[in-house]
Amino acid sequence: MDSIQMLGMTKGMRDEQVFLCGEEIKSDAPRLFLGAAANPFAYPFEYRAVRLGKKVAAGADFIQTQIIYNVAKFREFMKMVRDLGLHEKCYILAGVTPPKSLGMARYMKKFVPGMEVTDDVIRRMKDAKDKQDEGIQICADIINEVKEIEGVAGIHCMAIEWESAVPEILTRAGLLPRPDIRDSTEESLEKEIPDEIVVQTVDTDALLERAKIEAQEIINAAQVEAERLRKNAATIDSKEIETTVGTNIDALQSADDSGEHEMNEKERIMALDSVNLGLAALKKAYGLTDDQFEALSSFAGAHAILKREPEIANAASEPAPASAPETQTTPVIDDSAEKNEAAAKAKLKEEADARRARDAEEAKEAKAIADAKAADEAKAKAEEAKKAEEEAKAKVEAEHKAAERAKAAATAKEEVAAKEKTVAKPASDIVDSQEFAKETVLLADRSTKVTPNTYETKYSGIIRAVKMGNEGNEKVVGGCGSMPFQLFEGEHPNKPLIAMEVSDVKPEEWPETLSQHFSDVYDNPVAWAEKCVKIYGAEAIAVTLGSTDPNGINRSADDAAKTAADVIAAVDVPVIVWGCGNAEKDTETLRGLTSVIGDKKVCLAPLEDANYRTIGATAMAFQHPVVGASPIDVNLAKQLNILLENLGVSLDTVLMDPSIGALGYGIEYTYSVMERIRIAALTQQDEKLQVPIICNLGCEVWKAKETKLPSDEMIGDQETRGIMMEALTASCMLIAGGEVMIMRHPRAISLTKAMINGLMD
Amino acid sequence: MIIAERKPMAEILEMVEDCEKVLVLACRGCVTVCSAGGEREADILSSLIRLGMKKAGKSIEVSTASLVRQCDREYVAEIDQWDGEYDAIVSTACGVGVNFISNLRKDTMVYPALNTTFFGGSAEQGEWTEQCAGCGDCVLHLTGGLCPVARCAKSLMNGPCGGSVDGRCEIRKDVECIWQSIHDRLGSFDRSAQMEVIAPIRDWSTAGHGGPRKVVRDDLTV
Repeated sequence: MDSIQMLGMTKGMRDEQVFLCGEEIKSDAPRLFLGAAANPFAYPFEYRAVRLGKKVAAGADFIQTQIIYNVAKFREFMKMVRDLGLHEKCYILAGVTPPKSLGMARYMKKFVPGMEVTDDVIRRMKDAKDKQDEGIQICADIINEVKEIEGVAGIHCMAIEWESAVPEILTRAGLLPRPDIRDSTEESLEKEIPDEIVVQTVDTDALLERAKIEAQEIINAAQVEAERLRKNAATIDSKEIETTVGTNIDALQSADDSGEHEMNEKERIMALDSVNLGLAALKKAYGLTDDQFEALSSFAGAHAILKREPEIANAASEPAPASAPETQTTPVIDDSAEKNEAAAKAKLKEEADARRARDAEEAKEAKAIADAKAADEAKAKAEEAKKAEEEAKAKVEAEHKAAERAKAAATAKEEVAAKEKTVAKPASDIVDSQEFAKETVLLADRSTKVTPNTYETKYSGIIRAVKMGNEGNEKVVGGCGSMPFQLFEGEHPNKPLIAMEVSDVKPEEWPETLSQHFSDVYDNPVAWAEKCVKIYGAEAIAVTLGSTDPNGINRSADDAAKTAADVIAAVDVPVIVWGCGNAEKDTETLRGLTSVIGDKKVCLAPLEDANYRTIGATAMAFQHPVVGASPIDVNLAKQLNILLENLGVSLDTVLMDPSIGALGYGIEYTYSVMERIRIAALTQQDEKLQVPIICNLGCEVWKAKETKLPSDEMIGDQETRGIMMEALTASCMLIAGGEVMIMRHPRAISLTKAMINGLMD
Repeated sequence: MIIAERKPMAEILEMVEDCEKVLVLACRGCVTVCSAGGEREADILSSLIRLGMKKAGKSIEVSTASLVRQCDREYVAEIDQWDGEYDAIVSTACGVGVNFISNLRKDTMVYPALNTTFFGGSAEQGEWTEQCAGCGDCVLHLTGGLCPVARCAKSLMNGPCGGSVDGRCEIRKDVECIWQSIHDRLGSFDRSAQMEVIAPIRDWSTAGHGGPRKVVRDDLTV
């Protein structure tokens, strides 16, 4: 037998006076107020209220819940309970327990099945100086929250092995002093409050008004009754019975509705006491004459006589005191009244059943409507998606056709240069912002059949957030608490940043398919940077100082620094200045730069094991962020970060360049190293690796020969090829954990941004 | 099918310590399929008994034979052919086989080589799980074909208890909460409403609580 079946059995013993086997209970049937437990935090969550409903239907008069720490979830549970109307059919006591120690809180979180101790509770206990005081406060806070939730009838305070804390908890929760029905004559008019149940305040004005009317009724009835009693204590006119039973039925109905049933002896005596007190109060409150009062007293006296005959009194179900002022109308009862009452009860039951059936039907209908609606919505969505797909298809086709047309034209001319130019056109024309079709349904909603714990990874680390750029125009990168774009697993406060690359001198090796977009500013890094920001909406600029390479042009450090400084002065967005990769020269250039940009901020790159000391020290002095660059290897990257930190550079100002390879040029290796770094940072508390990753990928992609080979039938349009290579490389880097991308082609950037926005908005 | 596993060798050796000749009798039914008591296992057991006895400084003659099934009269009759060749039979059948031989052969001592564990199936290679409790009053039509009697630790009939977390049972993390699975499965067939129906108290007499069970088929009796 399970709990629900046992409730049904006990209810049958109480209400039908039969044992489970069907045999009648001949002596006193058990008079029980049936309770059951409910766990709002167990799985499947959506079934929990339904299961509570089964317990109520089986006979539960009150419910004790599992210990509540996650109030938000409990609130959600109570909403489902209210939607099913269960809060009106039983008293729900919210379970609370003060954590006595941090250890206890942790134990409950880890080892007690079906308990949810929130991180907030753990944190509060951890931070508290006085753990026990904080435990009591947590409990009181939860009581204060849950008692405001509609449908919560009271609390069940379980101070496990700490009962002495209960008075303090109740004091802080504002629940003391407990209402005492014995010493307040005035309050006896109010709803009587059983000890275990905290009843919400009632509208006293309305109550008094009602009480007044009822008092009049009582007085009238009592006068008649007193007279009758004087004449013949035993005779009761049948007509009279009907009226008294009438009131009784009303009382019974409200009692039944609130889930109350027969009272036990003790409560019955308490009810009688309260009747007497009520009479005294009425006399005082309504200025009754002595005659009237005597009549009332006789009435009460008659009642007291009945009380001494438990056989009769027991058999008849007395209205519960909790069911309010009507209590005071407790009528004279005899056998015939009992029969009538039984009939009335049966009728009530029928009515209740009918009502339940109606409710169920209504609920079913509502569900059907909701289902239909959901189906319609889904259909509409599907259609939309289809449309989008078709559009995308059409677009691709159009592009394809355009490319073909262009190719045909080019072939006619049979001139390679001209061919390149014309072919380049269709792709480069579109640099406006792109948008991906978005799936806006949360993962949790799409995978309701799978519990989140089966696919969610819990991360213990968080990536540091690094500030880039000048005050007022700062961009923050990093800060994520889960693997890239896994928004359902952790916070991603900042989107990845894409910096557009600007070369300090006219780059010779950029293919025309790329350089054509900057041909007007090719010789002027300042104008180039401005164009990137204004025309292409660049969020950041990366000035590359390739010209300073001693093995190449070997431009002087001062000249290069000046160019970079000019760019920094010209644009508002964050600027990264990337040296040529020669440790000595970069030291010279970058140190020179910091001395000419005043209080403007710049991100200095790259710092290698050969020059991290000198540039690192400069960066620290001027509080510039830096990029630590190491050959593609987890341990080398980590080692450089440790060295930087030992030097005194805060890792909050460090970006990591793990060295990357472009698509077709070692991207798999890059990917796995970056992902490995990120996993170590997020799940293995490898603090030295918890820094954002920067990928200088433009230079890697556009030096690949695939970006330079002219268009041909086999490998397609040259520009599109380059764009796709850059965008795909960036996409891979982003998914592997990269937070800053240095890129070149406006269209590739636009595509990459579309991906970022599509995944994160 | 019936799943069983071999008893610890020490236990088996203790059973046969006074014997000079034993017959290890395999069963080609369920226990062969669950690799607990087929011919192969019987051969291995024979060797182990010989080795074990030798180690204890005793000698024993062990022969091996097998029956199609040990739970049918006709097949059990076959053991007569080895009469006189053994002091005892060590049966590698399930408990039914041991009982059947004991029922039918007054003069034959028979020992169980296996612990009969449950009715189940092989979930994965080398792993068997309980699927049915043989309770005699099947409710699978109400529970999406998944048995709460056999597969819920509390044999609950009215949905998951408060210890169901993440599809796992509170008794152990490696135990599936079958009520979560029932809930999901009924949901996938759009029959969640079944979970709202109160399952009445059951009559467990069919589950053995009313004494040993028996099925009589009038149409088949002679």
